[in-house]
Amino acid sequence: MRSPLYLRQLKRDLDHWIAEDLIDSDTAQAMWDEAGHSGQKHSLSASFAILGVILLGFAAMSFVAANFWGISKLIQLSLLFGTMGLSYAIGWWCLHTDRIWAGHAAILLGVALFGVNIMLIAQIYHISAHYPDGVLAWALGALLTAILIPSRPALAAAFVLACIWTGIETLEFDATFHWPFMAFWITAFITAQALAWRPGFHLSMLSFVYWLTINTGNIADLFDWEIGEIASLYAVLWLGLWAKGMVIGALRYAHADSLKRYGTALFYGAFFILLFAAPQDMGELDTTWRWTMMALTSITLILGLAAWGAKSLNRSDMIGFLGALAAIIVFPFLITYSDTDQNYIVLISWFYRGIFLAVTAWFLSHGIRQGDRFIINLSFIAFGAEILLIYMDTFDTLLNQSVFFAFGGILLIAVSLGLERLRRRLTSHDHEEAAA
Amino acid sequence: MMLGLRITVIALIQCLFLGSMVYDRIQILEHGKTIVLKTTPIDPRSLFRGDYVTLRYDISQLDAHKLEGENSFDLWQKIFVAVEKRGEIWEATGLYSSWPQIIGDQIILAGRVKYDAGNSVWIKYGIDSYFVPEGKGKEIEKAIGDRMDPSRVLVQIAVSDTGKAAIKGLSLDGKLLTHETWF
Repeated sequence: MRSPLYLRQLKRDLDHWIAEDLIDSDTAQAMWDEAGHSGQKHSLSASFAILGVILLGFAAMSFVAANFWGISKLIQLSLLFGTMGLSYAIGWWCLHTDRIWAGHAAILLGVALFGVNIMLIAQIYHISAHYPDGVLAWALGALLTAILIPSRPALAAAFVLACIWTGIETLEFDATFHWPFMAFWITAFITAQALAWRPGFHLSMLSFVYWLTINTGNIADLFDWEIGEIASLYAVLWLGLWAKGMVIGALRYAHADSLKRYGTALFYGAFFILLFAAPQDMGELDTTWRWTMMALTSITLILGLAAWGAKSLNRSDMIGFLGALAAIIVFPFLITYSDTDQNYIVLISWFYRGIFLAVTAWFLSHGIRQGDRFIINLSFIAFGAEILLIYMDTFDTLLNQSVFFAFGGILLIAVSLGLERLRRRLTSHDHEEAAA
Repeated sequence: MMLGLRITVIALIQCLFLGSMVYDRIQILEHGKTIVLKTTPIDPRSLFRGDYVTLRYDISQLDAHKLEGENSFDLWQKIFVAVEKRGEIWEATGLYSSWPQIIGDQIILAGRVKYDAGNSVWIKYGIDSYFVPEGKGKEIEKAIGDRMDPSRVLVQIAVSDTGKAAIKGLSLDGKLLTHETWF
C-alpha cells in the first residue's frame, strides 16, 4: 500500500479535480484504485514497522546488558524464550491474516530475540568461549528463518550478521583465510535469488566484496603476494564480473545492469590501486599466482567472447575489453623485472596512467552507448581521481600547477568545441535529409 | 509446508539450540569435578553482555618450558592443561596439544592458545568472563584494589570429563561472593 499521507493528499486532489470538472468520477475511482493497490512493496507503514523492530531489538539487547540479577535464572530464561516464541506466534498470525509487513516485522523480532537469547544464556552461565560462534549461530538462525518463511528482512539480517561474524573472525581472531564464510554466503545468495529480491542481490554483492577486502591481507600473507599481484588478480576478476553482466544482460537477467555496475566500479578500484603498485618491485611471480591469473583470465575471456557472441558487446567494446584485460595481465610481468632500472619503473608507471585514462574513456563511451548514467558518472569520478593523482605526483610548484590547469582547461574547451561542431554537423545533416 | 508448521520448525530449532547451551552448562555444573583457581579480576564492558569481570587466572599465562609436555603452539590451537592441587589452589603441571595421560589426581582443562611468546603461552578457557550486575564489577575490583592484594580472589570451577570448564562461584578472603545455581 501507498503511504497514508500520500493517499490522503490524493483523495483531496481527486475531489478537487472532479469539482473542477477536470476528470470524471469513474476516472477518479480508477486512479484511486490504482493508487490504493500499487506499490505494496514499499509502504511507509512497513518501513516504520521494520525500524520499530530494530529498536525493540536494541531495547532487548540493553535489557540483557543491564543483567537483571533480581530475577531468578528460570524466570529470565522463561521470559526470553517466551518473548521469542510470542514474536513467532504473532508473526504467524499476521502473515496468516494477510498483514504481510507486520508479520515480517514480528518474524524479524523473533530473529533478533534469538540472538539476544544466545547472549543472555552466555551471560547467565558465564560462557566466554569463542564468541564469534554465537554470532554465527545467530546468523544461521536468521538464514533458516529467511529460507523457511520465506522472509526478506530475515535474509537482510543474516547477511549483516554474517559480515559481523567474518569480520570478527578475520580481524580479531586472525583467521588465516576465512573460507567458512563462503558456505554461508552461497546459501544466502541462492536464497536472495529465489526470493527475487533486488536489495538481497545488493547485500550479497556488498557482503562478498567486504569479505574479499578484509581477507586481502590474509591472501597476501598466505601466498606472499605483493599489492600489484593481488590488485591485478582482482582487476581481472572484476572485469570478468562486468563481462558476466553483459552476458546475462543478453539473457534478460534481472540483475544484469547491477552486476555490470559492480564490475565496473570494482575494476576501477583495483586498477587504481594497481597504479600505486607501479613503482614497487614485486619480486619473482610465483607459480600459484600464474595459475590463478591464467584461470581468471580464461574465465573472463570466455565471458567476454560470450557477450560478443550474444551481441551485447560491439566492436569498440570488444577492443576496449581485450585491451584492458591484456594491459592488466602484462603489468605484473613488466614490473617484476624492473627493479634494476628506476627510469624504466617511471616509464611503466606513466604508461599505465595513460592506459587508465584510455580505459576510463572506453567505459565512458560504453556508458553513453548503453545509456547507463551510473557508469558515465563513475567514469567521470575515475577520470577526476586519476587527474588528481597525476597532479599531486607531478606538479609541485605553483608555476607548474598553473601550467597544468591552463593546459587542461584549453584541452577540455577544445574537445567541447569539437563535439559541438560535430553535433551541429550531424543535426544539420538530419535537417537536410528531413527537408529532402 | 504450511506456514504455521514452518514457523514452528524455526522456533523449535532455535529453542533446541538455546536449550543445548543451557543443558551443556548444567551438565558441567552438576557432574564436573570442582577445582579452585587463583585469579585477578579486571573490569571491562561487553557490548552485548553487560558488565562483567574479566578473570585472569594464574593458569592463563604459563611458562611452557617449566611444565611437562610441549612448549610450542600455534595461535588459537586447542590446548590441554593438566592441573594438580597444591594446598587449596590448583596449579598447572603440564601443557599438551592432545589429551594427555592423566597421572594421579590431575584434572585436564581444555583451552585455546591466545598468544605464544615463546617463554610464555597465553590461554583462554572460556571461563574468562564473570557477569555481574551493572556497576558491580567496579565494586568488586575496588574491594580488592583497596587492600592491594588481588590474589585473594578465588574462583570455583567445575570441569567436565572432556576438559570443558564452567564457573561455579567467586570468593574473596574465603567468603563466597557468588554461587552459581542451575536455574
